[in-house]
Amino acid sequence: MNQLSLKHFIVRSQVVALYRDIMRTLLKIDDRDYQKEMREWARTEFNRYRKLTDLGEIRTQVALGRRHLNELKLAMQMAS
Amino acid sequence: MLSSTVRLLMRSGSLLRPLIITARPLSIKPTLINLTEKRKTLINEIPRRWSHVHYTYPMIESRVMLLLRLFDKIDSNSLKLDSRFVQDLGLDSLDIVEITAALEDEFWTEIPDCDSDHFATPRHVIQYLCDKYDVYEHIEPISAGKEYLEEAKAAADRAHH
Repeated sequence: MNQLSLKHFIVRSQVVALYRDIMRTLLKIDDRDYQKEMREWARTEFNRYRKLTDLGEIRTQVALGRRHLNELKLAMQMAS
Repeated sequence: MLSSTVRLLMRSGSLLRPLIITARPLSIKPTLINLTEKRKTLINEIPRRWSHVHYTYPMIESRVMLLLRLFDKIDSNSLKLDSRFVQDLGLDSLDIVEITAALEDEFWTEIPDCDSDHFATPRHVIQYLCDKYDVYEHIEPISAGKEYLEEAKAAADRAHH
């Protein structure tokens, strides 16, 4: 039981780190309205998978989120 | 060298968009910074180089409270210095991450995860930022010093009379 919650704790910190990276990247967008929209979109996406308990699923979502973030960073670099 | 600094800062428009307008001179060259590096390296150097921007406790407090009021998940009427984020204002860890990211943007500094985990009230946040910028004026001087000063003054007065 304890081992399960430790892994959950680690995965939770990964999720929070991913959210932090997303927020920091989104804050660099110049257009204020678009930035707000993207932040809300990211928030709803995170909220949608809030109730997941299976570690494998959570890790998959985190990996998908990372990929999204990399694409976003590329797009921003190309736009600037 | 100077024009490329200006161009870099102009291109990343968010750097010139503080919540409260404080004058930021572009004439100071960040000599230790590789200008092709991303914004992250710029963040830690700039506040300490612009020594004319005087950080005081009221200034930090007003900026932090304004930032928190502008956050739409926080009810401005119930926001006090000591209102706890999680218990009183009903925020969760993702909201605190958002607030931390906004604070980083506003104060041009980096706040690591290990520090933002300990943010429980706005007062903690303000105290953290005061520590970061070496602001001590809101802290009472220790009373031993005061008594010593009064004794010294009394002794000096006795010596004169």
